[in-house]
Amino acid sequence: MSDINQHATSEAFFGTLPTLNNKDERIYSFWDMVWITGGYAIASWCYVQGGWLSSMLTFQQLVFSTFFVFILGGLFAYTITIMACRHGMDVVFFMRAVFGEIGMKIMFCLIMLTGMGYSAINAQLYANSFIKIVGAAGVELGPSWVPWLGATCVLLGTALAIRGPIAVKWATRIMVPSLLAVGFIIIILLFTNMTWNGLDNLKPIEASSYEAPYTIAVEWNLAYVIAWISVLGVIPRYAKSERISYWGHLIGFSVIMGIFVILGGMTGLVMATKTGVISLDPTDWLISLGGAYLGLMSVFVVALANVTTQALDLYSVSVSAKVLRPTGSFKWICIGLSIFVLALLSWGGIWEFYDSFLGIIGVISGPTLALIVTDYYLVRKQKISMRDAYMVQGNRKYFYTGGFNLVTTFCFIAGILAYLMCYDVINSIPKQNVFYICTATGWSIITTSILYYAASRIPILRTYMVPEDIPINKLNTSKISNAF
Amino acid sequence: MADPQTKANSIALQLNDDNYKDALELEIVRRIEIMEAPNYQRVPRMNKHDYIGVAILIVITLSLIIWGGTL
Repeated sequence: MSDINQHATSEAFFGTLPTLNNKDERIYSFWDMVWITGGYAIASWCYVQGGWLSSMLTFQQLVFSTFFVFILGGLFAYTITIMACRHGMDVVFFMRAVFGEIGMKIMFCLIMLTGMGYSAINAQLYANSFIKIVGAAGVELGPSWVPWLGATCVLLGTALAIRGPIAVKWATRIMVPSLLAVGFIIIILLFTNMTWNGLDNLKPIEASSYEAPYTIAVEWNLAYVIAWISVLGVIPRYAKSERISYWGHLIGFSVIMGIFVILGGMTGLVMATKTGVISLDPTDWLISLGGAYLGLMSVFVVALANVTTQALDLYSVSVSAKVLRPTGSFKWICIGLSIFVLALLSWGGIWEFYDSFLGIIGVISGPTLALIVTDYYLVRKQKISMRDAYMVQGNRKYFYTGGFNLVTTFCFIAGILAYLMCYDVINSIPKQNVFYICTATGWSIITTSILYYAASRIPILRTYMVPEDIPINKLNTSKISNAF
Repeated sequence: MADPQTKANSIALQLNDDNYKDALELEIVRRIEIMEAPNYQRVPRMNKHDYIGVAILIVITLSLIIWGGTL
């Protein structure tokens, strides 16, 4: 094995193990947790989210629908971090108890691949930045260049990622200060162009295009914040206590990320009002509000940060994928994921249909989150058979029927249907009144949770769903599942 | 605190594709056994004040989200 593969294998190895409560493994204090989650959260996608919201909301609506929804959604979603911290176990293994062996792998891949859409967005932003830098030098490149230039971002990120953790560590050291610097520049530009009162009076120029812009923004933000589900099980394993894990995630992934999304939204709103142009691209704002020199310098920083974000994303997702397939080549997993990002980039649909992309994330992440939380807290009462979750020593109770927990599968599909019945993902149009009360993601979470909990109250289904309740230790679930 | 809790990180093995799964399973089982020991101390749990804080925040954020819709 090459050194890098050996390193990634070791990382996947230690990433797989349940962490113990000792000072060598429980290394994160509250502030460590805040910086790690905050640093990960503040990538360019915050600005894209903010930019999108600014086309339909006033400043006050932007703050209320972003900041408080991020906190409310986070309060629910980060309960996952409590279980990961308590057992020292990545949530992916808990998903085996909920979805079954094959179901867990499918769900993990689905969440992981959907999340790669954000990498395509980063690559697109990089291409836009590059076109502007080259344009300032007098060379005009058209939109047809975007996939090709974006591809260089993906390739550079891949080259960094496959060089291993040292390269990625340095990439992160560049990325976080760069993005903080861009945020700082944006704040300066904002308040040299506008006052608080001025911000209050700005009118979004596309609000009339949506039937209920505020509720739709709440829906998008809820989907955006719970999209972090795939990384919620990793970092808490190293937290010194459950409260550090929970509140640290809330500050990093909700409060800090919320501030950056609002910052993006404020800038988008100012630019749209001043120039009449709606843009999701922070590089447009930087040049429009900052002028040539400051704008171009910031654009360069955004381009650099996007390459390093790409590297960090590819590296962490590839290591996670290696947890699922330990003997797979890290390098080829990384390259395979890059090809997927390149395909998304050349398609261009994630950028063009960003609202539908958020809808798809909500469709998948909402019911998944509902099932995990309901299962752990209400159905299993915070107990889990770790031997079965890891499938060691021949313990395979969580294999269920052909690798799928049929009750979970049914509830998951019901959750998706509940979502689609009350919201048109493609056209961003509410279809039922319930959307205005709890949004589509909220409704899908409620439906899935109630159905799953109700199923667990039926004795024969409970025996199937919680096989470790059966006193015979070595009972193989597949025998029970044959009854279904 | 039990001794294994402070010594648990001492894994001396060279990982390769051949021994990976066996080594992983051995180490997982060893750790689960440590966790199952009656004197094993888990990480401090969320306490009553945390849950009260969560409940208060839910009420506040929900109210503010609803109020934001009227602006």
